[in-house]
Amino acid sequence: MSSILDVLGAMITGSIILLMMFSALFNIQVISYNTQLQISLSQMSEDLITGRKIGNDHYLGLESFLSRVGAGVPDSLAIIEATSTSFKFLGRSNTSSAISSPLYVYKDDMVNHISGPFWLADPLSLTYYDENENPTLNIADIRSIKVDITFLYNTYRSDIDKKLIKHNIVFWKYFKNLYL
Amino acid sequence: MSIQMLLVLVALVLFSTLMLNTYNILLDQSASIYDNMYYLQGQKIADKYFQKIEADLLGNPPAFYFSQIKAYYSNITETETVNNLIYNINLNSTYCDSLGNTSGAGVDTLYQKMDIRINCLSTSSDTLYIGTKNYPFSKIFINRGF
Repeated sequence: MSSILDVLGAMITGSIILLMMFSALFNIQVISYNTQLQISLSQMSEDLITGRKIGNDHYLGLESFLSRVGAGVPDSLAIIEATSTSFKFLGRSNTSSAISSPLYVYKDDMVNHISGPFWLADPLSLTYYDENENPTLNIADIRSIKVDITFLYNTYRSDIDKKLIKHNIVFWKYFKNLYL
Repeated sequence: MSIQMLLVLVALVLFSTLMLNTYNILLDQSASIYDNMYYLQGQKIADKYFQKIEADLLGNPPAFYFSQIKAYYSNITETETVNNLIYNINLNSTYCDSLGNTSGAGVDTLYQKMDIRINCLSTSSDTLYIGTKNYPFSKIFINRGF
């Protein structure tokens, strides 16, 4: 009888350990998957902000578009609208791309996207500064912009782990055309 | 205690060791990823100062004349808070030659080299250096008489 109890006890304890093992392995897979998502999100966010190169072709990022504020137009016409969530400007461009395009991810070519579209996520915060680095909303005084943008992605298990994977990027752009 | 129970306990000890090691590796990996994000943000902060100096040199009259840049950015320290993380920034400008050498016969007041070093607190609570004394973010400015 004693040995039967021992065997039963070992079986129960062993089962608990097996459950722990499976649970731990599942958690490891979730963490690894989320880590992979974080890497992908960071790469895509950086590409969107700073641009990317596929083969011999360069694709401009948001920073490059902002460099064109006021290029080839009078200073008084350079900035059309400046609010905390939107910014409209005039500037000479050599492409017909629109800034508000969604982000697609391509591999090897620019024809068939493999994922996307990824849209810019909240919160987006735009702050404008005059030439003395003081925040301003007066369009005529704006000389630089601070863009605070966060990209979000759902985790593997959104039901039990609601924390979103995010990548916050803050960058500044000085409108040199308006200084000239 | 029977042999079965003993084997189960041995398995538990071995499994626990394995799990601790695996979790430790995963934590190291995620710390590395977050530190990398801080590096990228640090580069953007350095770029901000380079842009600011370039913009300040433009205009008529400019906000800063070339020699004033050298005088103002003489080993100064500033801070920038991004996403609740404080970045400590050190800026230092020195006259140099056209190749960025700060010593030698070619050093001229026509050129100055701006070095930027940044540090912040890493995810592992160590100091994360983004640009060091020997390898700072550098940019050479030329006096174009604007």
